Formats: sequence, structure tokens, C-alpha cells
Amino acid sequence: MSVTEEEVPADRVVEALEILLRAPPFGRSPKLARFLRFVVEEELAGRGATVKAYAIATQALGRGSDFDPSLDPSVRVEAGRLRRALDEVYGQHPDGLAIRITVPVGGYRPRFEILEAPPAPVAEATPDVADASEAAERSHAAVAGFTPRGQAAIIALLAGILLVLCIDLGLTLSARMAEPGPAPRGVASRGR
Amino acid sequence: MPRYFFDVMDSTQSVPDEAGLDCRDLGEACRQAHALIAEAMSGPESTRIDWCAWRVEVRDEARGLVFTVPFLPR
Repeated sequence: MSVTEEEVPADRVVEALEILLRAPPFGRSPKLARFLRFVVEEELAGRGATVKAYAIATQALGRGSDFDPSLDPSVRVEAGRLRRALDEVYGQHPDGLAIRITVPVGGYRPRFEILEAPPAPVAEATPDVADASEAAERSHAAVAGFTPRGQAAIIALLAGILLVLCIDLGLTLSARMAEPGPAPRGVASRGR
Repeated sequence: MPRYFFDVMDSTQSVPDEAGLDCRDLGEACRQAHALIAEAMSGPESTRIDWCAWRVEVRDEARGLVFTVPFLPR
């Protein structure tokens, strides 16, 4: 899968968030689930640029108002775990996950990218009704065992044989009609 | 793959790992511990944390201690 940089609609981000939160790493760690939900919802609310460790600690991780990010590395540590949990989930390619959510190193602000599914193999494509007649023609040609050029050559050959047969028949008939009476010299010589 | 847990702590505080991480072997578990340390030390806000006191304790699925990685080499 690849990603595109276009702006991602909020409803698609929320849909991806809910899928991620049902994945095993977030099921095992409610703390990481709250962290992810908090930063994504803050970003969607337009407050992503102002999210700090203190807000994450007190509003998502259950820390008290005395939390001091300059002395306590817990938000930094949980951010690292969150990145690995996201990598683990995306590595398993869960169904329906069309948006990639990342939290780049050095901050807590999430990024959203649209995941592009790889093109489906041609062999798996199902022909629609509009292609049915073309498919039938191809099938007929395949059954006959000849290409269109081969078919034309055979038709020309058969037409040539038919022409020769017609000429021969015509000459035979005219020779028989000439037998009862004296045949004109020119015709008799042509019949031999 | 076995799952390892990366508990981060100093002498008074602990940031236990709830989720854990699947690692192919101990080498990958060691690399993940070092990556966790590097990211924790490069956070967006300035700190007065004494990183010498912090370490990662890598534990197996039974929560038995496998090895320890200090934040700063002694």
C-alpha cells in the first residue's frame, strides 16, 4: 500500500481510529488507547498544535495536576510505545483501515494519510454485461482455433476451390450438351 | 513470535508497559529497547530529568526479567 498527502476528511479519520482501537495492542493497553484517542480528537478539533505533555498526562493518562513533564518522562515513553503499537497494527493490514495515523518522533501531533490499496490483479477482474458480447466473440474464436486472419485465408481458399469446381462443372455440362450433334470445332477442342 | 514488555523506571518512578511488543528474538528486543530510550530522550519539551537514573527492564510474557538497558551507558 502507498499513501497520498491529500487532506483527509474527519469522518474517515474517526472511522480509522475506531478500527485501530479495536486492534490487540490497544485492547491490551487502555492507556495507549486513551493516548491515541486524545491526540487524534484534539487534532480534529483544531487544537493539535497546542497539545503538550501535561495535557496528555492529565487528560488521557490519568495523572494528577501535579504532573511535571520536566521531571517525569512517562508521556515521552508512552508516545514511543504508541508509535510501535501503530506500526504493529498497520503491519497486520486490518480490514477496512483506509487511513494511516502516525505520531512523528519529536512531537505528539498526529498525521493522517490516505492509504491507497494496490490495484487488483487483472485475472481476478470480473467482466461486466457490456463486455459479454466481446467475451463471447473471443470465446468463439478460441473454440474455432483460428485467428481472424486465418479465418479469412480459409474462406479465400474455399472460395477458390468452389470457383474451380464451378468452372469444371460448366465445361462438363457444355461438353455433354454438345455430344448429340456435331460439335463446333472450337468447343470440342476446349472440352478435351 | 514471543512478546516482550519494556518497563521504564528509575529508583522512584515506573512507567509499566501494558501492551508489550512481539519480537523475533532477543536481538530485536534489545533494538526496540534502545529505540524506546532514544525517542524518550528526544521529546519535544525540555526536561531536567537525570537520565542516568533511568533504565528499561525487558521482561518476557511471564513478566520475568530478561535483561536491563540503561538510558545512558555507565
